[in-house]
Amino acid sequence: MGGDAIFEALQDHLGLGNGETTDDGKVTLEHIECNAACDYAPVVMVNWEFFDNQTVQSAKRLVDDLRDGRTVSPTRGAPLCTFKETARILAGFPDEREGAVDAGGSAGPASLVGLRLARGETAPARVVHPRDGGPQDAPQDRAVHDPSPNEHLSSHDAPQDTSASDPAHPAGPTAEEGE
Amino acid sequence: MTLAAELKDTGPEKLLAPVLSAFWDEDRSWTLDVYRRHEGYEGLRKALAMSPDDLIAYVKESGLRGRGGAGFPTGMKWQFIPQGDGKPHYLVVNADESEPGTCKDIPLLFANPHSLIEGIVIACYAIRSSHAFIYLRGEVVPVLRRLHEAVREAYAAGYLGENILGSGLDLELTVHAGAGAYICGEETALLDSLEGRRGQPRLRPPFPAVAGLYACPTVVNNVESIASVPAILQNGKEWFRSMGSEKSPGFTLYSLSGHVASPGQYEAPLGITLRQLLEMSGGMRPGHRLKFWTPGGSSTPMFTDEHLDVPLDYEGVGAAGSMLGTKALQCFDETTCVVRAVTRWTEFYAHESCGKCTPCREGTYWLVQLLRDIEAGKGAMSDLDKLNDIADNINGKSFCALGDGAASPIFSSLKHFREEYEQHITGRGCPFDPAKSTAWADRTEVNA
Ligand SMILES: Cc1cc2nc3c(=O)[nH]c(=O)nc-3n(C[C@H](O)[C@H](O)[C@H](O)COP(=O)(O)O)c2cc1C
Ligand code: SF4
Ligand code: FES
Repeated sequence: MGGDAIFEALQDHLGLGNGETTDDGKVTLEHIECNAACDYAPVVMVNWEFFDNQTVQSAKRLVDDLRDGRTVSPTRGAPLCTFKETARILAGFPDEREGAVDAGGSAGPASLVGLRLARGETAPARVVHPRDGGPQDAPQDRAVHDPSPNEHLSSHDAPQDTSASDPAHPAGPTAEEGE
Repeated sequence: MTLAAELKDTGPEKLLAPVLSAFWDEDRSWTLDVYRRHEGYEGLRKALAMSPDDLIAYVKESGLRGRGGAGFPTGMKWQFIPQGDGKPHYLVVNADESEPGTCKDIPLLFANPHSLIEGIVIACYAIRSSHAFIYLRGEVVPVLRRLHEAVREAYAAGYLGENILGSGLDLELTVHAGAGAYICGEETALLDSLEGRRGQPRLRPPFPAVAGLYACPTVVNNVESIASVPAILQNGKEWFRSMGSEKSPGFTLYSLSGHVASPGQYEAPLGITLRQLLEMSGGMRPGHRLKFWTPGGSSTPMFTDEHLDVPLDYEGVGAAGSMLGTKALQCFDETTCVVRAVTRWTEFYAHESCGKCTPCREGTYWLVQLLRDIEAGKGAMSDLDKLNDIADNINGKSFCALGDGAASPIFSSLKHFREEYEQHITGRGCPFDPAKSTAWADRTEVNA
């Protein structure tokens, strides 16, 4: 979606490699993957606050602002605090700042698209027909699928034949193994 | 039939079913006040009026299945907790959400954390636990803030603490932030991490139901699984069963992402299809078509546009050769290079492999080396079989399911897109322009 491009551009812009810090100590650049925000991709995080739907330009602007000490606002979540304060929150101490919990609203826009459609608040079926066919023009034949070799039992991690999940051997008060 | 009438039948109002997400757009939706206005903590009252055993049976009969990936029946999991053993029992909620593509628990916790807390109280009453934990991945501080506050509110209102609602139930709830490791989402690694050790999977058996947290009987459930319980009690198991199918009843959050016109959360009865979701939400981004997608995150074998009509429930996706997983529908259009996407995923697995077992630790490393070579045009035809071979050595032979997950994009991409791999080799490099698949590729970027 553009994460690679943003990361490369920032490396270039800051003259840093992955995990390195600028000379002024203001910005450490780190590659992250998957922050449970695919519906806001590409995402940059600062002190574990979300900056959603970034572009190369917006990300460069973001680090420039950070280095110049200008205030930057996350798209979801509270105004930035220092990383030390972030670490305190992670350690289990609630953020005591006025309004910090409220900040960022109830839910980000992408979190609400389904709800809005379900309520009829957005017009459905705005499918822009692709020039060269699209999902709705895709072949309809639903050939019977030969089970793929990778449909392997252990690619699930719970319902394997085990003492815990095997109804015939419910885990009793005494364990079968290692009491 | 008029267009309007047709839309009523097949339109989003009919196809979607917002339950957990029903009031996310309300001001301060995450607070106790708003939650109470939406029948919050009413399910708990109904639960407390039952005996714990009846409650477990009720959840079992509702047919609720785990939303963390494997789809194991939730009521049955609770039933495995031995009773009268004199040991403490624990409930641990898995909020580590880090499977690539998965992004449902985080918005759920951000906008509606009380549904989880209510579900936790109900579950703990059922399994006779007086201490529950929420294991949240650490990189989502905005969510952690709201969890802290919601737990505080729940204590103040008497939904947590001693003698909850006069029932005699005592319950302590601890929110723990992890350090951000995918493997800590694997339930036994999560328990090790929660105990303060390095997060690595444990040998099973014994299973968590017998010897989990601090070697005591423990239930580990996904956020969405537990958060779905209050609505089932409030509206009844028949209501729940009226949605979805016999074996996959109920509602769930589908997360649409990638090159789609409207990425986001869509709560619907199980069994909706990707075609229906795309049609109501505007399809792929304008001018592009679907090339491949994952039904449940990167660990589930990928699908192509042939699979648009596969019912997205546990059986439907399973019969089509993949897994429902976390219902993370990551959609990629024709500008995306499969080899590149699989390489990124594999880099993720190699990075997140905990190193405990050889097939996964070494295998993911070598997969990355081969894939990077192929992407750079330095691959040989024999590398394709080698990829398959290595994946085969990981799949089913590794210690935990992370390894199997790493093998799955390799197998499925080779199955559906072998030709594209070959083009990388014969053409000495990637035939795609990555700039075209960026989110801004079709926008005329304004240089500010
Ligand atoms: C590598 C790996 C990562 C996992 N990550 C998560 C996760 O982030 N959240 C989650 O709920 N389950 C995750 N799981 C699945 C859990 O092990 C477990 O099956 C699940 O929490 C059970 O909850 P459920 O029965 O409610 O679905 C993961 C499994 C593996 C192998
Ligand atoms: S499969 Fe990978 S993540 Fe799982 S135990 Fe082995 S090395 Fe660790
Ligand atoms: S892959 Fe997880 S945030 Fe996108």
